[in-house]
Amino acid sequence: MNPALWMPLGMVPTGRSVLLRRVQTGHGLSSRLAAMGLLPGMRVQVCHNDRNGPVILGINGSRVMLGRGTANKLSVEDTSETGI
Amino acid sequence: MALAGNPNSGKTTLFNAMTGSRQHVGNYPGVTVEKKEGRFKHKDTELNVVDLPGTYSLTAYSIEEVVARNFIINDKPDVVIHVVDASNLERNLYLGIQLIELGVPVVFAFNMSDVARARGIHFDLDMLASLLGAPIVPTVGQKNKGIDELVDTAVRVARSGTKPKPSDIHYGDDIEKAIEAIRRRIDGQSGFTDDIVARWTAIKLLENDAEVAKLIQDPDIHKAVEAEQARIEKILGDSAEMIIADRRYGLISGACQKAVRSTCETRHTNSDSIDEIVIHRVWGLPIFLGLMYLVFWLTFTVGGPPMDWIEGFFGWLGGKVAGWWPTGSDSILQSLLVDGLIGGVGGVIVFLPNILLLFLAIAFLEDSGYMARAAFMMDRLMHKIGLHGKSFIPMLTGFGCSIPGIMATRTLENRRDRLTTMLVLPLMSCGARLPIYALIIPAFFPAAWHATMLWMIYVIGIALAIVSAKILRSTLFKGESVPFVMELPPYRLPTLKGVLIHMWERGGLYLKKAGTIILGVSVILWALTSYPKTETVDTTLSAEEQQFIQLSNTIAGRIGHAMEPLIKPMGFDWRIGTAMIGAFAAKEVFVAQLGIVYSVGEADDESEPLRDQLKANYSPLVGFCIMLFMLISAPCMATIAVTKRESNSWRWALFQLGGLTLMAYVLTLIVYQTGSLLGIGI
Repeated sequence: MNPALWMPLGMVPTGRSVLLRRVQTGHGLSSRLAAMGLLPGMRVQVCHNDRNGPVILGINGSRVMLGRGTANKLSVEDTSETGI
Repeated sequence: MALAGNPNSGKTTLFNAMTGSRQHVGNYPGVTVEKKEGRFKHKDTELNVVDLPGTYSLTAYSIEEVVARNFIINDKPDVVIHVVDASNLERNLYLGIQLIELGVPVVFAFNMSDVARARGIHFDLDMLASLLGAPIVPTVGQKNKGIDELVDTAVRVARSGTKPKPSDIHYGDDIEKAIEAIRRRIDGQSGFTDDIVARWTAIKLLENDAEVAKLIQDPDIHKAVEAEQARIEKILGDSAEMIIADRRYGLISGACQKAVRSTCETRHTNSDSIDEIVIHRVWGLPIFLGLMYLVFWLTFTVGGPPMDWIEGFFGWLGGKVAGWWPTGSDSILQSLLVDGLIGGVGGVIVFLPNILLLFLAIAFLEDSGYMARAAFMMDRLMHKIGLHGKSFIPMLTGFGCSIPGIMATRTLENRRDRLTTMLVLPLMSCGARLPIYALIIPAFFPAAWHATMLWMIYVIGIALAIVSAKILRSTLFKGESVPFVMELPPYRLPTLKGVLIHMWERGGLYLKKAGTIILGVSVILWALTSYPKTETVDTTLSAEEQQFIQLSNTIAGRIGHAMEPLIKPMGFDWRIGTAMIGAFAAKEVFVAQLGIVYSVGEADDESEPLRDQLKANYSPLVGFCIMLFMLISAPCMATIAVTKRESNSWRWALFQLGGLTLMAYVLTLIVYQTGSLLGIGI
């Protein structure tokens, strides 16, 4: 776990598979995200990410879209880059 | 029996399969969440089933979740069927674990089990059932498979009252210690005689559940909860709610590892390839616009012939009823039946084919999964006006009719977003306004302009909605926009039954409106335009002039005259004024009313004489101003009533009425005055 490698989810390009590290949203939203399978430690696929507009994530087979603002409150680690 | 499950888990399909059309849609008391109930007989058992709102969890994040869990806690259904999308087991069971925690008898319906199998997922159902402590029945809702067995099992569980043991869900020693400490404090307090409820309450308190916290008065308990949360955070390094969520997933994946074998991950591949085209940065928008165009085109071309039939029927009915009286008779009852009732209601029912087709198309787009993609694409645009993509779906529905559109704002979690969407929604030109345009445009404009004029009116409405939403969001409803989180369901081919049921849920409302409000208003308007009768009319005048004098003297005529100074600056005379009063009851009444005023008998949007009359009396500029005013002004009574119900306050409903009418007045005034000054269209 090296926080220096973390970045906001909104910056991850389409097609990458990343590890969710930290969720910095209000209490209500973080438990909603957890219920949808977005919990630190989970692996997330970035299915669609243009430079603006919402981001589409693949979580365990389901597709969830997040507004860009929310997406940037999630820190992820691009493990495909570090080879883990 | 209650049906619980994630959105898009096929819950509603199962519900439809069980109950067919024997459904009743109402509201949960005090909130505007739809409550769907149905009754059916299975073998010898009479069953009552409630389709709970689709939720991911039983926290207090949205009203739907609160409603679902309150129903389970307070109404104590004999059995809860948890509809699980079997191809996405882990996330679906997150809700399942919470149902078990509530200590109710549960049956799991592993829905779409065929899809799961096709995708290479194999379940050891017996082992899973014993791990979960509740029976599992595989079902395929779309193909009516497994439903008998599911209901059999549910009835058996309900009769025996077998519940899974909530204590089987073990959150690890540290959390369990905290739960136990809080539970002991709650236990014995009034209302918490039940061990299971006490444990559940303790867990919810640790999870920072605002709704449950409100129920606990004792400040000592709140202090104890805070202390335990702080302790957990210190030991485990994360907030209690996150740890609890993490443990739930841990339990689920533990069970899945033992009982589920997945050979490959292929879900969504087809959907993903469709999405690559449909939500493409360049192609996405044109495809969306094309689909919308197709929807409107379908609505009006396919709707045409049945409209003619209905029109013909009402014309025939009117003639038949009129024939009961001798020709030339001046019976009040005849006039009431033919001009008032048949004319008024008939003029509205004529649009039923249009409305049903539009709702059919919208239901198809919704059930196929495309609507979520439309929300995705619109988010960019909606974000700029301070709303998000989800607001777009109610607005689209508003093109059909504002009422279901306003009801569809229920999917918006945030009150500010909801109110903004609700208030600007009548600017989406609804189907009832179309007859007005259809009457006016051909009367004043050359054929080559028709399509462009119609398009322009719709675009003006959309542009005004955007501007108004922006203004509302930066004044009355200031504040950060809510996080946009929405699932994209995989594309599926909608079932005919499902689409028809959805269509009818909304189309039925329109019919109800025709049968109640419009029926009543037709009678009132008929009376207003018929009384008081002028006794002494100069019989040397032509029949038309006689009628003109008659009408001027009626209540409607007098109101119109009284309004004239106010509407004169917009280019409207008293006759348009009387029609405007009718339009407040329902926009489509405008056409009928104008017809009565011009006394050309049965008026509808195809009536040539009325168009000639209009052309003789008004300039194209006035024609355009009529359309502009009708587009923006006072939403119809039914819309006001629905806004009142959905916003729970007369204040917003009246604000909507006043604001839109003022906007219509000012804009029409400006257009008319500028137009007259520059000499355009006079």
